[in-house]
Amino acid sequence: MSKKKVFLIVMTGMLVVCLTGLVSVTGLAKTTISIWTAYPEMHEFQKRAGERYEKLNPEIDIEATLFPQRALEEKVAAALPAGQACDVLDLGTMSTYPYYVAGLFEEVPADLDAWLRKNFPAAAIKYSTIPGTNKLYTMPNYISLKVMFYNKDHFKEAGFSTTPETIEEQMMYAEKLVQYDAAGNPTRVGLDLRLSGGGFGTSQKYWTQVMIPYGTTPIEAVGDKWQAAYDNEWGQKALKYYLDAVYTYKVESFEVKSDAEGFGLGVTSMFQRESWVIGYLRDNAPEINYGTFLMPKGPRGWGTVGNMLGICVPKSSAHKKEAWAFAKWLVNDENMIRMFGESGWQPYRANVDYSRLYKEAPAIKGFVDALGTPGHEVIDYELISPVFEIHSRLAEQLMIGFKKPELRDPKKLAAAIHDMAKETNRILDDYDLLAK
Amino acid sequence: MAKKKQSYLRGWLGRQGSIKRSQMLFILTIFVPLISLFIIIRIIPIAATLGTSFTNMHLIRPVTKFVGMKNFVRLLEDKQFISAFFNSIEYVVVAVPLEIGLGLLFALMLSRKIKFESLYETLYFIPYILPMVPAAIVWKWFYSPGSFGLANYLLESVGLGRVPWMSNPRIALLATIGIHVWKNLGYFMIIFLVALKNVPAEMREASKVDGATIWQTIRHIELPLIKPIILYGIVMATVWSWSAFTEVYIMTQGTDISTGAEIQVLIYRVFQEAFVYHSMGKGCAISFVVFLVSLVIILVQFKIFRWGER
Repeated sequence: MSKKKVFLIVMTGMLVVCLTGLVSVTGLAKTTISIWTAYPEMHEFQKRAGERYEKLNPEIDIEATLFPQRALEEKVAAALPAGQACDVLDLGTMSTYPYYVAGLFEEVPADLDAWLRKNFPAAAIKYSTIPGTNKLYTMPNYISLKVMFYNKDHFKEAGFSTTPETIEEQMMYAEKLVQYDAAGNPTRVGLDLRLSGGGFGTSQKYWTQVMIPYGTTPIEAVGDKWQAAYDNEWGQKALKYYLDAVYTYKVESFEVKSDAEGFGLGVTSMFQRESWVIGYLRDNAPEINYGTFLMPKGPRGWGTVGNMLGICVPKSSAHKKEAWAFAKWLVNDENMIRMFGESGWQPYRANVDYSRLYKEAPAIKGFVDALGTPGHEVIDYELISPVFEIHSRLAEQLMIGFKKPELRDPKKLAAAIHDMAKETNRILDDYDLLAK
Repeated sequence: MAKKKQSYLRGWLGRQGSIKRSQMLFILTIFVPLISLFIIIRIIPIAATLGTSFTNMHLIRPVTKFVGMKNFVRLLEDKQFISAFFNSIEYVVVAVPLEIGLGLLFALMLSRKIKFESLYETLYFIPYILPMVPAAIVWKWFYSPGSFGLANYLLESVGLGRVPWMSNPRIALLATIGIHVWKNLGYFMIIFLVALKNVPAEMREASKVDGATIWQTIRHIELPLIKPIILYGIVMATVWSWSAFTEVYIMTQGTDISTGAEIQVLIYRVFQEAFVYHSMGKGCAISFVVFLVSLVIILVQFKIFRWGER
């Protein structure tokens, strides 16, 4: 081999080594913090917040990724145990707590813990605290609190100047609001109860809409164990309310578009949802003249489900310190107001004045008030490992039940409820959490 | 002498082999990677699935215990599993005859000289090459409730009443099977068409000279000659119907369409148990049931065809 060839090979090798080094150094110059969420409106907010954070911290690069809700849950299930998850995870406590138990999430650092206790309501701290300890495993961020949305024009047309206060009144209102075409097909539902959907959403709405008013709940604590709490007269009444709405009073129908889309299309007069709908309606159906009211009272209870969405940092994150710093910055006063205004999702922060948003979106006030109305209970999911499975399997069974008009027969209704409760108890038993 | 110098490989039992060392090396080089891959990709996962089905393995619970037949016993009491099992049976019973019957019918029609033959072939084959997820999403819109979906809109525009495509559990399952048939029909049509085009033209001509009708030609010449391809088609259609998932999954997601767990099939149940509830033990038990039933169905199909040949 000639000297020239040897020289060329050595030079090429050195060039490759230098370039590799240069690329590595450039890569190291910026720390990438990835954040995953399941909500499009929240993703847009996080993207914009990330850009602002990058300007304040040029050494940080924020990478926000959006997954559909169920896809995120599946992604987390696969990526977290494999150590391939994001640095900052924005997800509900019912989904994240089992992973904490499995040792996959960091606890909140002590300095941040102290700051959170000063700046978030007691309920937010309660549902972020590891049961039996005084430590937080997730940082409270926003709350998925449910209120009723109603179409003001539909109400006016039906002669209503006030909103229903009880679930009986709600059904009566719905009967006047529902509309049919000449062939008897429903063209507008009076009350959209959320009869279907993936995951646990259907049971969550059912819990809010009927279980709380009838004074029941999916599971209840018995000492340090748990059991299904709805295999009784009140659990049966709750399911019957849904069946009556669909088959007896015919105020709800499978044949009309439902949820926020149905409300935005003007084919739903009342439905229960979270504050993100404000942003959805602003962007997709600005012509809808709507308002909100608190979930109606029932004979045995008044309140709503307000499940918290927190921020967790996986143990596998290579940049935990930077991840927590970004998380804390995300919940500062200015970002909380921006989050509410831009995404529609309701921040859980206390001592922040949101009133500047009321003019543009008056419905926001309804959500802020819902957190502080005396007597109106805000309930979250219990922090136990199988809670996601319990609610998701209950949702599966409910969706099947909603399509069975024969369940209005008291014996069949009792048997169906008993079957559901049996499954709930079986799951608790699998986790050695069933009260004997 | 020269023959003695040749190296012969001894057989497994020490007998004098008849294959030269170089030939044996060639065989090993060719087959060992293939057999290894088959063991790694097929045998080990099946064995691992069977092993896991006897445990309470949970994706996010660190301790796994051996639970014997508990997962299988539970399946017998699980209404969701039983409903999914019968839905899967319905899937096979409805989809396979439709895919094979219509596939054959269209192939027989296209194998005759007709105008725009290539255009028809392309049109029938397009659904097969479309990815299932976007296709199922379009179908979801097609079946949307009330007058929001194209299906009901078309029915109403010709004076017919609306159909509760996705809210009536019986119709919902058939409507979902319809998506499956629409997707795979083109594939079966094409393989049958290729088989029919390979039937020697002289045989058709001879039957024509002998005065056979078209139906007699089809029944006594064409169908017997493409029988192996029909068997292949039936096996594939059965496997695909038995393991249908994507269209069912898409149809059960979201709140704008009223399907629920009542249209679930076995693979959907595997997905729910293993990846939604993280219960790998139960998910694997269902997978093993799917595997065993597939095996039985296919063995029966082979038996029937061989019996027919006799």
